[in-house]
Amino acid sequence: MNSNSRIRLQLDLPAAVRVVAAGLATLALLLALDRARHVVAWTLTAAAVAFLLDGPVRALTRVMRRGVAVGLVTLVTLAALAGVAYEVGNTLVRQYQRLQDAVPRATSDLLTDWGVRDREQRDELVERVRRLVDEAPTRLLGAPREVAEGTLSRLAIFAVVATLAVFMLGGGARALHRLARLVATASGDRLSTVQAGRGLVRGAAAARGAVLHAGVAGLVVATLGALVDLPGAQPVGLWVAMWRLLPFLGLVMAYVPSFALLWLTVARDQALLVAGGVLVVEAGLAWAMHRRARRERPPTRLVAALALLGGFEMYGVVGAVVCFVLGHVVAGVVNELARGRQEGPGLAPAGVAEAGVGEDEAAADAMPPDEAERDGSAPDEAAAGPVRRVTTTSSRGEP
Amino acid sequence: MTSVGGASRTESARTVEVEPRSLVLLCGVVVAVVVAVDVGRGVRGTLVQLLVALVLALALDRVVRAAQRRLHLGRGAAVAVVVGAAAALTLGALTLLARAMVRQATQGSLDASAVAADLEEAPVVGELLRRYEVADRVQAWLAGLPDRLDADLGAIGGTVRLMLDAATGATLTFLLVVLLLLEGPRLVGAARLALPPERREVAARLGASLYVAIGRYAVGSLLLALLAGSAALAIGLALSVPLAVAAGLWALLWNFVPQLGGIVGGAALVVLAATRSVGTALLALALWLAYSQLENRLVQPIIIGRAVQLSPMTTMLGALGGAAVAGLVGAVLAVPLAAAAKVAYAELRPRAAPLP
Repeated sequence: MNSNSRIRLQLDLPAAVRVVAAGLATLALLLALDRARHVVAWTLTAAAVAFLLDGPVRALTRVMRRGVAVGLVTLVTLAALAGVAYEVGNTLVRQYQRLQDAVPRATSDLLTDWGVRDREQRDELVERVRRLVDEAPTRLLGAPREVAEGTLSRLAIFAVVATLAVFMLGGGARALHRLARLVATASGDRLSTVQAGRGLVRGAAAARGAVLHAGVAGLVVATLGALVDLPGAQPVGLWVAMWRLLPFLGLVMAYVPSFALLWLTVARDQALLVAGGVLVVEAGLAWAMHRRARRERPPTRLVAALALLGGFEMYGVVGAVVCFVLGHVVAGVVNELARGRQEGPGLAPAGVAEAGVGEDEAAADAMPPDEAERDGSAPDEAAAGPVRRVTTTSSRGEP
Repeated sequence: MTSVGGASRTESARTVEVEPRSLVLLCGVVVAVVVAVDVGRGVRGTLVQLLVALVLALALDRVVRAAQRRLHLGRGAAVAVVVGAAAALTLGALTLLARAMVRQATQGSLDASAVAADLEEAPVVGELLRRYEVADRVQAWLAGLPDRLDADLGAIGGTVRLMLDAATGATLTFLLVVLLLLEGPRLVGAARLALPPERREVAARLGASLYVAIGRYAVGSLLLALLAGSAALAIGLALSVPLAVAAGLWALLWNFVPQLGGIVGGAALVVLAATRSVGTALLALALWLAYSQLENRLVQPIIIGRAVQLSPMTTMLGALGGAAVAGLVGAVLAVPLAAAAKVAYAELRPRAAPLP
């Protein structure tokens, strides 16, 4: 005789209401996210900026209060951005004015060389080319009113993002620490949370290093180019800085056009001198970065390339840079978690399991311990819930 | 208790308490999936490039490993040697082909109006061509071409932009191939370590099977495409077909598409041969069909073997579906992806217990 038992599961009214409410809440959240897409993008941009500026702020915190350090770093960053924008914009305007002045004569000479003898026809062609150059800004950027509106709107977004970034720099570490405690309490796995915090800090440091490398390379090209009167040295420097974020191919795209322009527009000995200087700086930077990369072993070049490509596809140059930074951070977290799993709980950093802080400042970076104590949110065994107990050994496995 | 046909069944009802935490988790998963899909749609181009790069990297990885063994090189040096050689070969071949194509095109070997006039003498279609004055229309169209090109600079700009986009996409895919070859092994190692220890063995088995299936398919497809392109070029040159180089390139590219690729790839050769004469076209068709049979029955089983054990209908449907989703690239990627899915299913399905 066959016998089997069936269990019929039924929901009571409160449970059914909860399920439907959860579904509706999810739907509402998704709709809200869809409508507030730009706010999410601004928040992510601010987070990327905060990750980039967190290093200098932390360095200054050793000699001054965090609030003052945040203010100082913000001011310096804004001044640097304004300087770059002014230099690039000013150079572009000057180069454009030179082009406007030079075009009629150059066109006329070219037509004479090509054997256009008819004066009326030549004047007409010169006039057409002149009009084309005059209308180029409007064709490229749109009508002046549209440009003004777009610029104002971008400035407003910049202000919002900058403010958010300052807030994150000031209180982001504390918020991350609280989030980490919440996750640790919910999952009962404080070790992974601490490892994730360390990975986050290392990822941000890697992103900072890459952006610093690109920025220094761009600055060197712009400075040396300006010294030898390279036309548009500042925009060329910006071009180099942007492309240097992309591994391998970025090197080619950054320097081949720049060196070609240098070769064509500057005296040969000066061009060689500038190219040599840039290559020496690049080699030095690459050596320093390579040493760091070998020590930390983050396989981030693929992540960096994918983040740049995907970010550019979604939101252009700004999206590429933001995704580049956030991609590094995510890669750092994943890398650190995998390393923690590889080394096993027995090889966890000293004191991590007990105190929730790491061997170096990275582990505690979600929030410095002294600040956490001041805030009254210092790691607390009771509040953290069940904590995985591990052997206290150093990260290199020494007892 | 109820009793039906000798079987008794016990039913009991239990009330389920839905824990708020489970509900939050469920909602979180739904939101995460929707956001991931939305982001995936936003970066569709990058994802396609990554997939193409992944297949190419799997194909080249065997060569890199061989270079490491034979030349006693480190991974980075072996990747540099293999990728450098592949890039140099591709660029050299493209340069030679482009020069030959430009020479053929500028020497006026394709006299369209003369071809149309010739075709009017052909049986069956000749009468139709004469009735609709096709030769005159072709002549008029050719005569008006310079003016149209002059007036329609936007279309030319669009074509140039399309070509630039294609070149950029190819370059970025190449970059991803290099990065995958360099960092792939470490990423795979990291992914393996991220898995719980009890699942690592299954994952390793699955990875090895996927590596063999996709890698072998990718290498085989590359070789077969080169072979098909060379065959089309050889037939074209032997029969003095105009733009034979273009026909060879066309056949090479279409050969990556399963089932339909052979037909569409050979069609260009036959159409171009028809500009010589109907007899040349028939001869080109016969030669191409003979090559196709040789490839399908002899060369393909040797090169690709049984790496991708999919039925013709599955590959055809996969190619059509892939083409609908992501165009030609989708059609090309459909077969290795379907093969990967089949391998994954074979590895992960529960094994039936042996009968006593």
